Order: sequence, then C-alpha cells, then structure tokens
Amino acid sequence: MQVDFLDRYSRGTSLVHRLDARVKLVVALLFVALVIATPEMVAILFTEPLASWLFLAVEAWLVVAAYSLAGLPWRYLALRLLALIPFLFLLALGIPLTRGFETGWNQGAQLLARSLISLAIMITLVATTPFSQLLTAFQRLHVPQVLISILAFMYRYMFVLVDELDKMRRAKLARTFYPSLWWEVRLMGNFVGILFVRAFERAERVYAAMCARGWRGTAPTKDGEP
Amino acid sequence: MNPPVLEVRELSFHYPDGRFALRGITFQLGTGESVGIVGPNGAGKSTLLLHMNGILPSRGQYEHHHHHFGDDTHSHTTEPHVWVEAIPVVGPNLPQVRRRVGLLFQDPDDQLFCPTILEDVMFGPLNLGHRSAVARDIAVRSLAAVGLGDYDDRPPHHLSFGERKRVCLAGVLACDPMILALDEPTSNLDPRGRRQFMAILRELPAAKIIATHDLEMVLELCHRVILLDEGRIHADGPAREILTNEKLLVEHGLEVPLSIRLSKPAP
Amino acid sequence: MHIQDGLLDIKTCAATAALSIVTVGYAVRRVSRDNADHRAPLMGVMAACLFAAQMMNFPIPAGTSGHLMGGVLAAVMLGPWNGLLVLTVVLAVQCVLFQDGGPTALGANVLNVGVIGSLVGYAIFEPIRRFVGGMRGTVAGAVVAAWFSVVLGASACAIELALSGTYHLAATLGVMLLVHSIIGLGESLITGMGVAFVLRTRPDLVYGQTDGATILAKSGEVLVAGLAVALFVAVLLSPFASELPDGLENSLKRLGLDLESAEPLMPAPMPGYALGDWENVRLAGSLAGGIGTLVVFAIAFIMARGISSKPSIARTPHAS
Repeated sequence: MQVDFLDRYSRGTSLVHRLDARVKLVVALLFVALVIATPEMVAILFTEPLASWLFLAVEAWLVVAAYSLAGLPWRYLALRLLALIPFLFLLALGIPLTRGFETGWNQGAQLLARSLISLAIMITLVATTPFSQLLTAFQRLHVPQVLISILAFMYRYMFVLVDELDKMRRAKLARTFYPSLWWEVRLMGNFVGILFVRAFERAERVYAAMCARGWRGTAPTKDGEP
Repeated sequence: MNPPVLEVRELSFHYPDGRFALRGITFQLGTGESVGIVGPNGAGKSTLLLHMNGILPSRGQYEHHHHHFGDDTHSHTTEPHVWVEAIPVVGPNLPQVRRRVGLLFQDPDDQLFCPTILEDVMFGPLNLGHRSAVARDIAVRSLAAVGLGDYDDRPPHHLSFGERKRVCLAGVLACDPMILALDEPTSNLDPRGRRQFMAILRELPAAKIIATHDLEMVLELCHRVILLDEGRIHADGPAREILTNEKLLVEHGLEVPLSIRLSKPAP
Repeated sequence: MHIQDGLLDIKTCAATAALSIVTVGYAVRRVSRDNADHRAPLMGVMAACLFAAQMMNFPIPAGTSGHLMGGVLAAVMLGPWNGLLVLTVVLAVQCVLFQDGGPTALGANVLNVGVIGSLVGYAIFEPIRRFVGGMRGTVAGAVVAAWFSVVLGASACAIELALSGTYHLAATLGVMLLVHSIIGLGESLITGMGVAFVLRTRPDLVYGQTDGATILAKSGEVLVAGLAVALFVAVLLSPFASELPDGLENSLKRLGLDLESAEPLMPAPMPGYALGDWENVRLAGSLAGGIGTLVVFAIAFIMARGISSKPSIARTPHAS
C-alpha cells in the first residue's frame, strides 16, 4: 500500500491546514449534515423546485473555495470523485427507476450532487489534517479512550498488514496457473486465517515491546500536539 | 572489582510442549561491558534476551482471553535467576528492572506503535513518570543522537527500514538504560545503515548484550562472546579467542568471520 | 454495503446514529470494565487485520464481486463486545480516511455491519456452538452466523433506504435479499475457513475456546442443529411472507410514507412478475431463505467434518 497515500498533502501551511483539527472536524461534519438535509429544509421554506439546487450550488461553491484555499491539487479531488461517480450514478439511477420518472430524475440528480459535495468536504478535511491531529481532536471531543487506542493501533498497523497481504497475494499468483473460483475462495479463507494468526502474534510482540518500555496497562497522558 | 550490572544464574526455560529453550544459563556482565551472544538459529538467543527484563517467564502479564504469553513455563517457584544491579528480576521489581534494561526487538514494526515518531520515542519517558515537556525534550535529544532530528512528526511507515531501526534505538535510549539488550540489530540493514547503526552503538556507554549472526559486528563492538547452542552456553570468553576457533564455530553452525579468515596466512 | 452520504435522510441518519451510539457506548463500558486497556493493541491490530481482509475480493456469479464484512469473524475471535468496537473503528476509518461510507450514514453502517454483524451474529453463533460443541461447533456456528449477518444486514439496509424515502422497499428488499444470500455464502465460507485455520494452529486465540480439546462432536449433531435453524428460519420468514409487509406498509402509510407510489416502469420479464410487487419479495425472501439455509448448512457440515477429531496437543496451553 502506498505509504504516503493518506498523508500526501496533509502537512501544508495554508489557513485550512493550520486550523485546529477539532474545529475542522466539527465544521466538516456539520456541513455534511447540512448538505444532506438541504432538500428537506429548503422544501419547508420554499416551494420553488429549483431552490434546492440553488442552495446546493452555494454549498458546492463553499467546498470548492475551502479546497482551493488549502492549496490542494485539483487533479487529486477530481480523481477521487471520478472514481466514485459510476457507483453513485447507479445508486442515483435507482430512484427514478423505483419511484417514477417525474420526480425521480430530480431526486436522483440531487442525490448525486449531495453525495459528491459531502465527499468533497470529507476529502478536504482528511487531506489537510495529519492523522495524529485527527486522533487528538477525537480525544478532545471526548470520544472514549478505548476507541482512540484501537484507532491509533489500527492506523499504525494497517499498512503493515496490507503489505503482508500483498506479499501473500504475490506469492500465490506466482504459483497459481489454473485459477478457479473454488480455489480462490479457499485461498481467501486461508489468507484470512493466516492474517489473523500473524496479527495476533504481532500484537503479542507489540505488547511485550510496550511492557519493555514501562507500560503498565494504562495509556500515559500525552499532551499531543506541538 | 565492580559488582556486575547483570547476573544470570542457572536460568532455564521450556515451552509448553516440553521443548527446552534454555538450560542452566550462567554468566555475568560488568558495567559498560559489551558481550555478543552468538549461535545458530533456534539456539535460544532471543529467548535469553527476553529474560533480561522479565518479559519471560510471564505470569499472566499478557492475558488475552485464554492465551497467556508464555505462561506455561515451568517456574516451580518464583525464584529469581536474573539480577539487574542486584535487583532480582521477578514480579514486583519489574518496573525498576525495565528502567535499567533497554530491550531492542528484531522487527522495528513490533516496537513502533505510535502514530508519530516523536510520540513513540516519548512513550518511554512518559511511562517513567516524566512530565510531557521533559519527555519531549528527552525524545528530541534521543532522535538527534541517532541522526533523525528532523523527523519528529512523521508516521513510522514513512521511514525506511534502517531509519525505523534507528527510531527504535532512540526510543530505548530515551529511557536511559544502563544495559542495552539488542536482538539482531543489524539484520536486514544495507551496508550504510549497518555502519550508521554500529557507529551509534559504539559511542554508547551502556553495557551491551547483543544477540546476532553478524560476527563481524561482534568483532568490532564486543570484547566478549558467549556461544549459545541448544539452550546451553558452550563457550564464554574473549571475542578474539572464540571467533578464531574454527572447530568450535563450525561445530555449532557458525563460521570464522571473513576478516579473520582473510588475514590468516595461507597454509 | 457501506452506505454513502445522501442516500439516507436526516431523520434516519439520526435514528440509526442514536441506536449505534447507545450500543457502542454500552460496549465501551463493558470492555473498559473488564480492564481491556491492555487489549487495545490487540484490538487495533485486529482492526487493521479486518481492514486488510476486506480488501480481498471474490468474484460472484452476478458479475460483480463481494468482499468480506468480518462481523462474525471479529465476534468469534474477540468476543461480541470487543468485536463490535473493532468493527466500529474499522467503519469509522473507512468512512473518514477513505470516504467509503459517509459520516452521516456511519450510524446506519455501524448498525448494519457492527451491531448486526457482531452482536446478532454472536447471538446466532453461540447457541449453535454450544449445541454442537467443541471446535466443530465453533466452525459450524461461525458459518451459519456469518450468512445470517450478511442477509440481515442487507435487509436492515433496505429498510433504512426505504424509510428515507430513497427507494421503494419492496423492490430493494427483494434484490438485496437475493444478491446478499449469495454474498453471504462467500462470507460464510471465508469466515468458516478462517476460523478453522486459527483453530488448527492457535485454538487458544479464539474467544471462549476452552473446550476444544475435550468435547468431540458427532457430525450428526451438526445436522440436527441445521434442521433446527432451518425450522427457525421458516418460522421467521412465514409471518414476513404473509402479514408483515402489509403490516409494515400500513403503518408506514400512517406515518405519511407511501411506499407504493412508484409505478412499475420496467418491463415485466415474466407475466405476473412486476418489480415492486410484494408477492415477489415473498418469493425472493423464501428463495433466499431456502437456498441460504440449505447451502449454509451443507457448508457448515462439510467444514465441521474437516476439523480433525484428534485435538492437537502441542498448542493447547495447559496449567502447570
């Protein structure tokens, strides 16, 4: 797994980058909720069907502004969004298909728009915030410590384990000449099993390493960020 | 004669299925002394190191559901067999022991478990009770000492293997141990990485006990060698003496280091 | 099955989020009470493991591919509450870092995959395990629970989508059930094999696996367990097949949601067949239930047979 996949742009110096991670997280989540709720809220206030679109357009502009303020490359956003568009398009298509074409097209299109805007918001958040800052933000927002610890360890070992899986996959490819569905599924089962056992044993070693540096079972209090 | 900083007496250890990993291990280490533990694979080198700070034998210290990390070891009593600065390495003393023994594991990924390098190196000092600001200072100095001063807030997976090994060393040094126990420190390092690592080790005043296959490194860094095979000590003496003893080395799955072979006059 | 933003409306998001928060909050209290701080490294590594495992795809006949959800796997390995926490973290990471599943839908996703996967899955797993006993019971239970977790999770998803007014319930439910009964087979196969593998090499790592070495189950017991669950499923599906959809629809109509507002627009492939007809949901449901139960138990039976009757001595920890 490309190791800089997640943090390629997160160490910039723009205004967005420098904002407190808590602020960014809360703002992003509220913004997403707002985007999702837009059609309903607008329907309460205005009857003009295009009113929703107006609001969505404003919201989209806001995200774009934030993204460009952060100095992030457009290609990155475009690629991420494009990758998801086929899937979202299909989902959006489901609405007119099951609910009728008169209102269906509009609803479907709005679904697509809302999804894309929300995606852009999340992408902006993640691309401007290093993971360790996100963790600290969660901690300060009183997410339970257990979950934070699991998160921290997961992030740390995600890449290691995906690499292990890749190595196993490559080794399997090197010796698979006549692939069949049954073979694939059986191998997957074994891979999962191996992955689990290796992960357990690594967890034991990590625990031993933590004890070796004085850990006594509770996380030491950290101040976190510079 | 100074009291030994590390003393091991009649240490034995076996696995649940009865296989012995260590039998009757006895030796001492003086202040600042460095000894290389050499032997074939499976000799018990890593197992021995894990006894230096009490990770083995463990009594339910790592209790995960129904698995006990090595708890089925037969210690019929809690009689100590290892002493660090005359402190017996048993249950209640472990925190003190672990302040004094810095253990470096073979796989850096097992030891770098924090989201950023700085946090990871701060882990030890924080656990020792230092305040955050003090711990940060110590961490920064330790990272500088291993040549990674600029890497503070990087996540471990952004670093190369050699760099990660150095971070692990920094993390251990941050605890200011008087004994360094290192498990295969130069394995999988490229020649430059290896040189860098050895240069750092050479300057450290702590007593060193190094389990390794890298006999050239042992020649350069250690005055003394202990040859371990099948859980027993077969030789304990000056490095030059043991590492030139071809018969002994070959008998235990090793060979004379190249530098010595090349410097011997041709028969 | 990770729901993106926009598919669910705010009230459904809020409702599912509230349910999830309450359940996960309880799990946190339970796990913290058991002094699980020192299990955090293990759970984190397991979460990473699940994440990696979910990246593997297996092709399914419908032309797409499915991947492992891992709810039952996590619950069997770690226990139901730990499993729920691990899954919650995995879902949160996928949502925030990879935009796989939207943050507003996180509550629903945790409900469908975490709560249904781990908790309900474990509730299905445990009785089967106890009944069959030994390692075979563990494997059989895992296989069955895995299938149900996928199908139930998909049904929950369809209901959530319908409640949001996005899709028509009958149409979605029918399709989801059929497709996910097949995906569920993949999940049960992989879960079963994974669990069997771990039991062969490190049985001590499986949650609650203390009687692996001593109780040997007869294959016949797996069959009986299978029939019992088949009966249970039939009982479960029959009210659904007759009363429930109408009941559900009526109550939703009273709430102001009209699920029948769509006109069938797709040409009927067969006379009498129309998309969106409850009749066909019943058909789909029965088909899914029928195929699923039979095949799943066949799998469970075969895999349980595959576990050797001799316990492996070397790895079982013993007190000394």
